Amino acid sequence: MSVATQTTTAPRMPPVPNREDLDATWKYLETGVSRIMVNLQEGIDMTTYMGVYTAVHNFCTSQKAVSSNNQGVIGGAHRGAHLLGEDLYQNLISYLNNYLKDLVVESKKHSDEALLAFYIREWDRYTTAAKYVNHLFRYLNRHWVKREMEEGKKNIYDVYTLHLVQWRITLFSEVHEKVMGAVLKMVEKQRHGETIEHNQIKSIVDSFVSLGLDEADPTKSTLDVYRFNFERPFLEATKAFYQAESTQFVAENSIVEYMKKAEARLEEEEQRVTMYLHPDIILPLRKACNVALIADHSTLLRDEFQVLLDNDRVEDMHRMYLLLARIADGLDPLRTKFEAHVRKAGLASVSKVAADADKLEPKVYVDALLEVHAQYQSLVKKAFRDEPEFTRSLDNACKEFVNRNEICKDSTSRSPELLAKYSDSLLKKSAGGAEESDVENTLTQLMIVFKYIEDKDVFQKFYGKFLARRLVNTNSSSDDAETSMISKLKEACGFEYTNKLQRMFQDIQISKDLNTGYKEFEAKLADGEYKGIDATYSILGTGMWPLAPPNTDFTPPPEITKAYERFQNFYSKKHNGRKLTWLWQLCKGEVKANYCKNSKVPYTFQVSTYQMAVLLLFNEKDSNSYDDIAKATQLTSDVLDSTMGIFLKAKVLTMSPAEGKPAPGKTFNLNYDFKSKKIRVNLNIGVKSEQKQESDETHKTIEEDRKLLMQSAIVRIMKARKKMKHTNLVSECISQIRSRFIPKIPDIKKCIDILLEKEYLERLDDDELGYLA
Amino acid sequence: GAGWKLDAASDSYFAQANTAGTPAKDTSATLTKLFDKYRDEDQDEANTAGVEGTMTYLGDLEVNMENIEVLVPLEIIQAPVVGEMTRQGFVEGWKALGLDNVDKQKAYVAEQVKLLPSDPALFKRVYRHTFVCAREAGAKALKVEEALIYWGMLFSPAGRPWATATINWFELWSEFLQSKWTKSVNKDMWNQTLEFANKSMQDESLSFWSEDGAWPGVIDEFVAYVKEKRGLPEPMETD
Repeated sequence: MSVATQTTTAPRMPPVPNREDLDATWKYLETGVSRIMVNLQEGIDMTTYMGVYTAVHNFCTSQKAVSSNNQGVIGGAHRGAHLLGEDLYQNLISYLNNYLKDLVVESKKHSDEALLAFYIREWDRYTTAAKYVNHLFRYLNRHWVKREMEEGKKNIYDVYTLHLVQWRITLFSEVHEKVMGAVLKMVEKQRHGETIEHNQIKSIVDSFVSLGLDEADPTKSTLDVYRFNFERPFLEATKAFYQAESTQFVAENSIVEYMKKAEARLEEEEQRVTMYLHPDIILPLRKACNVALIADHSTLLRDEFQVLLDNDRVEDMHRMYLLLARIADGLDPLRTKFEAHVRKAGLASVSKVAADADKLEPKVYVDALLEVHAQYQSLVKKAFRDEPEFTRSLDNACKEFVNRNEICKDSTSRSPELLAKYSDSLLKKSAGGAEESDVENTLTQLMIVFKYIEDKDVFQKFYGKFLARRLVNTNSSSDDAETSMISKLKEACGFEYTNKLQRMFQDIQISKDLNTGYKEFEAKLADGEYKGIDATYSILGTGMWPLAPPNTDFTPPPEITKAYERFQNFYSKKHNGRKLTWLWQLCKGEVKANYCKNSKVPYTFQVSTYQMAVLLLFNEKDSNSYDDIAKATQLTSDVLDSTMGIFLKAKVLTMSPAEGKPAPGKTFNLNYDFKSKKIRVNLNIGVKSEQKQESDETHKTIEEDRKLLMQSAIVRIMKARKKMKHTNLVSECISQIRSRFIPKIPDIKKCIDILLEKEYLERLDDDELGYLA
Repeated sequence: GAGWKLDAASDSYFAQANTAGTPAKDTSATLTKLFDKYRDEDQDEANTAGVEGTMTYLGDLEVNMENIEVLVPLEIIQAPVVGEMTRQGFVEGWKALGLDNVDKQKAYVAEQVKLLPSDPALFKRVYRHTFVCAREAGAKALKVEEALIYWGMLFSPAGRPWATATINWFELWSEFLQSKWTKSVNKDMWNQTLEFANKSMQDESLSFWSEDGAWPGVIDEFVAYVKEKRGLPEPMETD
């Protein structure tokens, strides 16, 4: 402590009293304390300082001197010092009391800011003085106070704390309400935009905080006094202010304006805390503001949400999100509305393209789905901070409109079918020939829709069919794109899902090597041997490919027979015991038409093997009867008729009599006058009705597969559990299967019925089933 | 007492036989002799009585072969098919009840027949066994037409009529099966039909039913059928 050495003293210090004269000693001390209290700014000289310090010492030890005989010193000194210390302590209390009572009287002359100024000035003076007094009374603190406290006496404090306690008891209790009233008035002024002396409030806060003493442990402080006398009225006033303000504001302004206002107010209150409030208030203050500014108006806000959604007001939605995120359960209604809105948007988007459902281009449909997803995903990102809950709402909505919309009103499997078709159109070689990177991007987009598809098994079926076709027809646009798509599907659904797709792809890769080997083998043949036709073979693993054997008998032309028999020999030497089944319906080739008069360069016909077999008959004869052709090729009439139909339509052959359709009794002639603008003529074209039939068949196999999948899931579950309640079995079954498709409960029950009948299961009780090994 | 429940009865019987040497062997011997009376040594397989003997026996019990009465003794002796008895079923069945001659057995059967409408446990036993012995040898299921004949016997006034104040359930059931059901009747369907019948008689609004419940598919379809029918205007429903 620094001690001023000025000598200008107001109340003159009495002379240093005799150490045995206690009254005189207290008088001396009182004057000293009073000088510090009232005139500290004038300083205290060293003599006075030392005088007071010595007086305290004398006061506390005088009895010792009086009763001093050399024996029993300790006990006697102890008691004596105790009693005398208490006198000094009590004297100090009554001095402070009188001093503070005067201040209370004085305070009544002031109000508002003047009162605050008065309070702060006096507080500063008092607490500064208290530090000095505490110092001077060190002896009392060290001996009497310390002992009292050690003995567990209540309401005994060190001298500094005693000052605070007395301030609280005598002054604070009288003035705090008026002081607080002045504080709140100032804050309100500031909230109305006026500039205030906010340091004053900060000082008040500090003073209130300092007055908090832990009754259980005086060395510690608590925020009780501050919380009760400052925080509580402050929060009440804040709430009342914002309730009044917001009610009026929403009545006179738009919701969007209100949100801006509320946002600004919330920010302002945060700053208020850092500017001059105690950090302890931040949570309750936020809460009070949230109630008054947001929760009380949450219904109005939420009602506005639909308007904002409809008008795509991203920024305002973000604002609303931030506001409602501050209150409990504030966002749930928003999420619900958002989900419903996205679903509606999705349905509307599909309806727009659904006018001609049968001719719907897969790309148009998928784009319609993606557009809505993209729009609202971006909204989730911009307005809702990419929050997982909103993302879930988006996902729920997308799942709904992807699987249930106008296009799939008859069957949810329309979506996966169209999506698979779209993937086929992307992966197939096309005239346009999209950039590799574009294809990759589009496939990634496609996977977004795939994620929402419920009937993943349907997609798998169709995708497999299309992949098989691309591979067999060698019109896949790129191996990289194919591999990339398969790995995307694998990532989404696991190894099992893409197992067959991968095997198909591998078969083709292996076949390429095999053909290279075969070419080498052919090259080594002796010159005289039949060289055969230039052919490529694909070896496809049985069971991996969604391909059926031919649905007609067929006798290939001898040219082909020779070629494939040689290959067969070659293959069986390599892989002994493997049986090859020829899928004639998928084979194709090219023949040159050297007979045409109209073209110097011979036309090349691209034909199916069936067509080739028919055309080659015309090498021998220019005219063949229907029955001759049927006998030579062994084709069934269905297949033969459509084959001949294409020749007639393309005018490669003519028929006599010309009327009617190809049928027994008709004769076909080679058309030497055949004309075409192109040199290469593709005659190997499928018929529309075949495609439709193929799609129907695929759907049928899906139904069968599903039954098996459900049954095997049920058996698997029951085998593990042995006994199970019916409802549990059903829900377990659903959860196991739902990654492939969403099974319907009646369908599961039918499977349970079947298994009961086959005695894989037994009914133990009405609703409990048992597993029969 | 224990006589009502075959399982319980035989259990308690065997328990007694083990501890207290009751005249078990005597009844067995008498019953075996009685059984042999109905066997045709030349025609019937070992330990089995064929159609003729079985019919004679049922005739001796004086049960009506055309209605539910006949099903009662068939359950007691656990007949494997309608026209056949096994030695084991015959001897064990009657031994457990302590009835070793035709007169006692006749009286007992007559008493049981009277109890059928009022004793659900007895009825259930007879009902369940009916499916067992109504099947052709080796078959797992029963043709609908045949099942309907037996249901007709069981759900007759002499058994437990399947009807409530406003609804003749059995009539609806046979209507439904004849017009919609193309499959045969398996054991689960047979057994669950009684469960459903009992519940429907307690609550004809069928509020106990739910699609997610454990009912076999045929019951679900029947409920849909009934609901559609009953959804029709009043006049159609009164008859």
